[in-house]
Amino acid sequence: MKPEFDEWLSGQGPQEEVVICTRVRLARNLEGFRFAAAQDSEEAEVLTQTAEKALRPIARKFGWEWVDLAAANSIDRQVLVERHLISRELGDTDRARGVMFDDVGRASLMVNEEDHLRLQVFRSGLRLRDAWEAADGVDDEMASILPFAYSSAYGYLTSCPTNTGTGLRISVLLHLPALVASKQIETATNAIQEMNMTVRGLYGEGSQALGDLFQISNQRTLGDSEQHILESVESAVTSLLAFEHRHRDELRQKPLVVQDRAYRALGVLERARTLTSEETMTLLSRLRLGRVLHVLDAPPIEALNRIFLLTQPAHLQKRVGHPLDPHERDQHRAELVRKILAG
Amino acid sequence: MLCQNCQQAQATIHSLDKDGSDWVAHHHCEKCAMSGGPEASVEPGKIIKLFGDYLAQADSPAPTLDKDTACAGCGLGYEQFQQSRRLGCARCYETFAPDLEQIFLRVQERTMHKGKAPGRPQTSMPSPLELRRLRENLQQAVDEERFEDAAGYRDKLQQLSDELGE
Repeated sequence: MKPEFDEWLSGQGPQEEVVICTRVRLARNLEGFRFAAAQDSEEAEVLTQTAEKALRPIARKFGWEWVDLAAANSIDRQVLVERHLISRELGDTDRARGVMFDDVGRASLMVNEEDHLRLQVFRSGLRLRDAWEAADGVDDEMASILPFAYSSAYGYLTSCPTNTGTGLRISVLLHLPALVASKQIETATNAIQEMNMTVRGLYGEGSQALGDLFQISNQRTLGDSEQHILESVESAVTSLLAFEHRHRDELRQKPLVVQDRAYRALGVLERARTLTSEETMTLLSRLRLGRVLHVLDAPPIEALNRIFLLTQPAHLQKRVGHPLDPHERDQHRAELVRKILAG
Repeated sequence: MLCQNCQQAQATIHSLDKDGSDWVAHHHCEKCAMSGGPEASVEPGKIIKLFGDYLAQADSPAPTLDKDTACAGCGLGYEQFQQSRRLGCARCYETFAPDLEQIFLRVQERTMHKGKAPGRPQTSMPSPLELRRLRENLQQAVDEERFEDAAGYRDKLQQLSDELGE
């Protein structure tokens, strides 16, 4: 349960200047069991144990570790949420549940989430097909062991009708500072929504997503094949990429402005004694833009990603080994940022 | 910004709703947005978007079933299903099919699956009901000192659990 530097934040992959990571998620339920929200505690327990035991051969093959979330403490659960290995809902609920994942965060399997099984595969950069093929392979292996709830009319049956059908949600996390700076982000996201995509800010604030990070995912799971969904997300992301690059080209015409903003951000991060998570995210975004537009020599993108992950509340508390109130967290955050930037 | 509902978690889901001619912004944490409690203004099942009007897609479907309808598989009642927009088990898909078709049309714009189908496992898996029945039978046999029967139930339970895991 030690905080790790995971695949989704490794900062390497196609289109890495804009695309942080790709995630493919599959929702599956087992025949014969009620869905999580309708279970009694005994059924939740049996389901969790059954799934964990049955999937052990797959866990062994992929080197997945099993964590019984009912037995884990709240900071450890929150760390897994911040690593995106489990959902907030799975971390917070009281029922029997667990998660399997590999130590570099390339895949996780949530057990007894809203659906009995939620498989997530992460890849850094834009790697839709690679992520889908990996998820598809694990799904086939799971289906050879466990009977999934499925109907020929509705496909894979899920707890919520917004996931029925393929149970497939493909999400791409993008850094779009140039579209935000040029006030074109709303136009862009509206256009993307017309393509049946959902747009959400990551840890968003107001209408501006925090850190200029946006997550694009397919809205429809029923009636489109997996290949079709893959192509739709690819097409939407490609449009956004082109739009962001066009506005980055405009920013390249005024390098001093970008450079000044980036160095001011660096100055604050290197010197501040308290930093809120919002301020940290905003400043990191300016540094990231400065780095990819080559107006700033340091710090490496890897350091920015490290700050991004390790300065979140549970990671900070895990690091010091005890709970921290928000003000203490701001102090510890500033201290950790200074340490990472100093190398 | 904190969630306007629980005032504890960070608001991560922001939505705009049309209230007459005005746009009203809502800020919820993911849990409150998805919980569908009476105080949450964003109902579960809605397509949550950062911008734009999604309400048109998410109106409740008109009731199509008798209000006393309940799923034989899990006991989920019709009113509960309408409120939560969550299904209790695979069988709910048959029980609430007329409503589901409407919901699918609104949120998915499709009603028929296209795509992958699962292969079948080579070994069958006992249902939780079967496991529970065996456990109850075992307990009863022990209580009634029918030890031969109890041993049979215990062996069967052991066999099922071995088949499942290894």
